Parts: sequence; structure tokens; C-alpha cells
Amino acid sequence: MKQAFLIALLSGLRSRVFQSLFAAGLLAMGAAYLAGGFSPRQPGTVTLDVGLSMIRAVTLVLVLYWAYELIGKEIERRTIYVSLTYPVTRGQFLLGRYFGILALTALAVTLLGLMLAAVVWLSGLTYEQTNPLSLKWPYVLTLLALLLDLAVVAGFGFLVASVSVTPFVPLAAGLAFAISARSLGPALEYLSGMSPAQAELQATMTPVFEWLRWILPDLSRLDIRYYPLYAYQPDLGMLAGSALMALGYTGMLLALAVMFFNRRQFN
Amino acid sequence: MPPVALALSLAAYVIGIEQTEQSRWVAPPEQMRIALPAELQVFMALGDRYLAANLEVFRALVLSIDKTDPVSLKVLAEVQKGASRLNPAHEDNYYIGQAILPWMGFVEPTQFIQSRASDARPWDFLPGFFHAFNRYYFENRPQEASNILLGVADRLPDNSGVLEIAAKWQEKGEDPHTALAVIRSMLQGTHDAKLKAALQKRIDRLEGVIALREAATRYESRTGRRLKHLSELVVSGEMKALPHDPTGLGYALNEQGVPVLYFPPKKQIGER
Repeated sequence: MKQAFLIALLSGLRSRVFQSLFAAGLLAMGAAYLAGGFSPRQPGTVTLDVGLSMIRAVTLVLVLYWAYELIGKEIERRTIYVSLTYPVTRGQFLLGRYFGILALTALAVTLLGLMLAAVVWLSGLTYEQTNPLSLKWPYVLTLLALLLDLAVVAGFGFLVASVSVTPFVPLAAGLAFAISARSLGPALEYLSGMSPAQAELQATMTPVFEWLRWILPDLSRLDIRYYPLYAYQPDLGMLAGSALMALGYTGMLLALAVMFFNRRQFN
Repeated sequence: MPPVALALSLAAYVIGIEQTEQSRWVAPPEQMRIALPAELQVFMALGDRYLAANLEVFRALVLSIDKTDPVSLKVLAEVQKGASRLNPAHEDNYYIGQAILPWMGFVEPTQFIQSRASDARPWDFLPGFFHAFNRYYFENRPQEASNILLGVADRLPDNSGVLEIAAKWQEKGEDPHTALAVIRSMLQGTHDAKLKAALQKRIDRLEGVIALREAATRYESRTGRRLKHLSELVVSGEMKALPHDPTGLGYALNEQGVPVLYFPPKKQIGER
């Protein structure tokens, strides 16, 4: 498992992804800085807010790309035969790669997080806003929660990759999964806040979403950026519950992925 | 063969450019015509509600804060309510809302945005103050306004002035001077040129109503009669001309013959 972990980590680091990430990060942070310029009252907050959105989008694509690169592509190019000749079980191979990707993702989140902190600091130089931002623990906690969100998405990518015969399917399915899971919270809110005129629609949709709520994890709960943005502390019970939900869901995804991968025939 | 294809493509390219130069595309006047449901915006923003909220606020800032036509304003109100549903704590959203909407008759959406902002930003005095001010000035309910104001007073380090304001509101009723003071301080609180210009329009509108009231008072004391029509101020020589309202809405007389800000009837501007 350790070997698979190191292979994933090193091949991720050796590829040019990090250079591209740095370039994409520079562009994204530039966009966040410009977005801050739009704000009449809180340029720093808007820079941090949009910057976090950028980090979420970039790392989402990245984590799914790595899932493709380190599992899907190996199957496609048939190099998986070589990888599986090592004296490790298939489960260890898969989990090693998974944690390798997670380590790479943590590095990417750290790098982008530091770049964003610098940009927010820059945007604060021109205009002193009334409500100061918190770039310390609340910010770190927000990035950690994002990492948990990405761990779930990577788990899903792995599950799809373990059964898929087409290498790009994990990427597309993973994107659809992440967007749906991240939109679930606002959709549930919308449903509960419908006006009486929409009662019929509400009555039809509520059972669907009640069911969906157990199938899809509500990843919007892991977006706690209101903590660094507005110094609004998240409820600890909610945070612990969301973390448990994410870990449990990832555990299920990985267990299923290992089960399917063990049974898979490579011809 | 490839050189021929290259030459042909080059020719097509040059002709194409020439053609676009000749028939210059005229941009239609920018107007906000559509407000998509906030929840749909989340999906379009890759499931990111904060990004969706930011995009809505940018749209409001870029497209419509300088507009005064009822359709654009109605869409702006919906867009801002949507942004508030997505992220009630957005500071620009409540500030722009207050700067633009209630002065043009959109008090209900503004109050929706302010009360949510006040709840989502428990340390911030301003949205609570705006909520209270709108209740006092636009909704004409000074008692409730004072209660809202007192409810957020402890958000200020020194709140002795707040009690004074609450008392004054109860005593005076609707007073454009108070509104003028609020909007002037809002003007100082922003560096955005477009928002400043929009606020200046509302200041000019309020100064117009103050001038009209002063003239109406002089008219009444001189003639002993109540004003029946604003034009009497010009006919009688109290004013050289009626003040120009840059927002285009204009002024009216209330039942007591006192000049007030004119708001189009709600049905006309399509407010629910």
C-alpha cells in the first residue's frame, strides 16, 4: 500500500500538473483580485469569497483528473498489469493510490490557499473595510473542510474507475456527482421555502429529495467559508456531523470500489 | 493543394473582417430583463452558492444600479433577493439594495434583504439600522422602527446616539432630512463611482422634495390656503420652476397637501 501511495504521490509530483496548477492558480487568483475590485464595500471579502470558489473549482477538476490519470489511464494503457504484479493486494493498490491522490490534493489546496491569502492581503492594501477577515484558523478550517469534500469526490471517482471500461467516465460522472452533491443543500432549502402557490410541486418533490438526501451526501455543509468571511462560527455539532457523514460516505465508496476492483477481470 | 487552401482561407478571413467592419454591431441598451431562480444559479455555478451570490451581485452592480426604469428595477429587486437567499451575509448586496431600491418604491424586497442580512451578520449594526429606517421612513411605522433599532443597538460600541434617534423618529414622523442624512452617510461609505452616482440621484430627489416642502409652507402662510397642485408653487411665484427629479419618478402631493416623493402604483411596477 505504501508503495502504491508513493507511486501516486511521486508520479503526481513529477508530472507537469503542479506547474500547470501554479499557472491556473495565478490566473484564478488574478480573477479573484479583479472580482474584489467590483465590490464597493468589501473588496477583501469578495476576493476571498471568489478565490475560494476558484480553489473549489480548480481542485475539483484536479482531483478527478488524478483519479483518471492514476487509475483510468493505467487500465486504458494496460500498464495496470505491471502495477498489479507487485506483491500487494488489489485493495492495497487501490487505497494506496487513493491516499496518494489525497496527499497531492492536500498539497494543491495548500499551494492555492497560500496564493489566495497573499492576494487577499494585497486587496486589503487599497481599501480598509469595516469588517476584517480572518485568515488564520477559520481559513485553515475552511480549507480542511474543502479537502474532506474533495476526499468524497475522489472516492466517487475511484468507485466509478473501478468498474468503468471507458477512462473518461470517472471524470464526467465525478463532476456530475460533485455538482449535484454541492447543490443539494440549496435545493433542499428552496424546497422547504416554497410559497403556498407551489404546494403541489413541493408535495411531489419533497419525497424525491428526502430519498436523495440519503443517497447523495450534502457537500454544501462542508462549505464553511462564512467562518473566515464573516467571522460567523459554524455550529460544532453540525461540523462534526458533516465530517462524519463525509468520512462514512467515503469509506463506503472505497469499500465498494475495492470490492468491484477485486472481482474485475482485465483481459 | 495546401497553398491554395491557405490562400482561400486567408481571403475569406480578410473579407470576413472587412465585412464586420462595414456592418458594425450595435449593442442593444443594457437592461436587466431576466432574474433566474437563485437555486438554478447554484447549479450553474458548479454547486457553489457563494459564487452564485457573487455573480448575482456583480450583475446588479454592472448592469442596473444606474437604471431607473421600472422593469430593470423589478428585475434588480429579484436578483438581489436571490443573492440574499444564497448568501444573506453579503455586505455589498444589502448596501446596494438600500442605496437603490426603497427610494424607487421597492421597499418589500429591501426589507427582505435587510432583515436577512441583520440576522446573518449578528455583529453588524448597519443592516439592522437600514431595516429600522425603512420601517420608519417608507413604511411609516415609527414604533416598530424604534423597536428594531433598539434590538440592534448593542452591536455598536457606543450606542447612546441610537436611543436618541429612536426617540426622534417617534416624535417627528416621516422626515426627508433624516433620509437625506442616511443617504449622505451611505455616499461616504463607498468608493464605487457608479454607486456614488446612483446615490447622488437619490440625494437630488430628496433635496427636491425638501425644496418643495419649504415652498409649500411659504405658500400656505402667505395665502392661507393648502396646496392643491404642485404647479401652483410656480404660478404663485414661490418657485421659478419645479425641481427636477433625476430618477424620473417625480413628486406628488399627499392628502394634506404636503409634497412627497412620488412612487408608481405597485401594480404598475409589477410588484407582488
